[in-house]
Amino acid sequence: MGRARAPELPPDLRRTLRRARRLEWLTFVYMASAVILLALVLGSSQAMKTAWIEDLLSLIPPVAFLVAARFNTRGPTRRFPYGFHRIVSIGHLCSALALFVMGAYLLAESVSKLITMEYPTINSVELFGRTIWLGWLMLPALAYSALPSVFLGRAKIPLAEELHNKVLYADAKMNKANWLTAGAAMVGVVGIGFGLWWADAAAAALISLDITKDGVANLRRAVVDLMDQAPTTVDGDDPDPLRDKLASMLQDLDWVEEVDLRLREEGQVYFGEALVVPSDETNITEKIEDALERARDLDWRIHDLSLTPVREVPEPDERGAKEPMG
Amino acid sequence: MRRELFTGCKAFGIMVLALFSLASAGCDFPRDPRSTLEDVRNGTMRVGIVDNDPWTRIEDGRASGAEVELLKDFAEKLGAETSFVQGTTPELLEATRQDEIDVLVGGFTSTSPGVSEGKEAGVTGPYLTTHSVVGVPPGTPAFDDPSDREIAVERIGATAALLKEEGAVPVAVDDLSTAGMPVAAYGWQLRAWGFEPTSIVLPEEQHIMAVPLGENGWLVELERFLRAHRPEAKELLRKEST
Repeated sequence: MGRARAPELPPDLRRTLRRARRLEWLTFVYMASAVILLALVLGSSQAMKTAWIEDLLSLIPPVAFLVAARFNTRGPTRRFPYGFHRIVSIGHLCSALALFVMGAYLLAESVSKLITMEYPTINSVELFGRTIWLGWLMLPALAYSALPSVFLGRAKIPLAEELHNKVLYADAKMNKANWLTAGAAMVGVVGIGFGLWWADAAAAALISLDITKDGVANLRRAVVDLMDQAPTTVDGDDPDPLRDKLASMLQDLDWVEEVDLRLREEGQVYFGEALVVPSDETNITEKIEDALERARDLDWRIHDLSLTPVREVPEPDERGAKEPMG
Repeated sequence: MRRELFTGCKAFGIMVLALFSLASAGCDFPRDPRSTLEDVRNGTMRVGIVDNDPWTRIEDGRASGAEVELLKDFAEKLGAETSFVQGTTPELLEATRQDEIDVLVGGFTSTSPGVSEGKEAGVTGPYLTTHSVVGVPPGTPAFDDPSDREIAVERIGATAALLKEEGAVPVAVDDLSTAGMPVAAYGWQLRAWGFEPTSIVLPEEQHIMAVPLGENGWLVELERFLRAHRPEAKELLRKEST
């Protein structure tokens, strides 16, 4: 099983993946429409601009997911003997970096607007022969960009958990938090209407702080995953219990005396190796094959495991200890 | 998680409701952070002028020109006096930034450097669109390719820039009506001076005015007035430019 050529996902999860793909396409189309709509009413409100850029940025995770989902299940080739699973982590890194850079930039911009006391100017437009302040038109546009995305985010979270896909998860979280962004931008725009010039920049600073926070959290997760951190659950930094489950399963085999197990995440699935000290070396090849079979049956995420019999396992290190992850 | 989301949606709904009730409650919206509109009403409207005939002129300390007349009408409608401050674009932009001027005019267009970007002052939407036509003096053959031709303009400015883009060579002359060479001017000017218009029509120029940054109530009031007085603006321009 060292070179698992089997597709990543078991049949029922392939259905989940199809649903996730459909939802991501929907997100992409809807977000693109929101970006266009907001661009039409974009004035010089900083909060509005920030909300718009956030919507623009939220196009990246669906694209990253859709691209990654196309490639990650391709079988290994001579050039890529480990397959293409890691493309998911790379997609995660890309979207996290975009989030972080944009958040930091917008934060700096809105704070500087607060410091230099820049007054936001919003024009009026002529609509059906009447002069209407553009600020009023921004409000429904913002509402359109926020409300449906909350439900999209909500629908995507369970799929992300099932698929163990962190790009999808980060995207779902961003969608879910979108109402906050839009709400803050609305407060900023109405603040301008009241003649409170600082309300806008303050709202923008708040939104960008949130974007930056999301960016940093995702960036950290993507980087530590690429650095072969031990697998974590998709929703946080807790170690995945699957590792311990697999270790004790191997330990409990009657021919195994001691086990040393290392796992790492490659996108949605886990790769790793186990060193075992056999108590009985007869028929060792069959025993190893049987153990690998059992490991695979334990969970679909155990994708590529190699098992090596050794005389003794290396000195125990802090790997087994409950250290804080990340 | 579900609970948290539910309260999120509810909070959002309440916020939207609150915003819309606020929006419908007040009709003097948007408001100015520095109360320009309130101060001008029954007070004085301070107008900054950059000399740019026929839009704005200062003669013997008296302001005139199409935009000046238009703003006088606006002041009358608001029951305000007018006071005029003459200066260069950078000087007056600075004064506008300092909120020492309520409205700044000078034949600015949506491409005027320094003004149109809306960085130093807020700008109105375009309230008037004009375009210049190249005309030739009577008895001179017309042409339809401006490349490398010398064409007279009143001064090197926006029109000259447009001519250059067409490949022509703009030349500044004192009086276009007596220039013995092709000129770029408005159609009615050419007719009044007896010039023959050619088929060369320069791109549109969209005219704007500037106000202090962030004075949205004042800006919207001015835009509303300008939109309602487009025909008058055109008429004033014709009168001032012939």
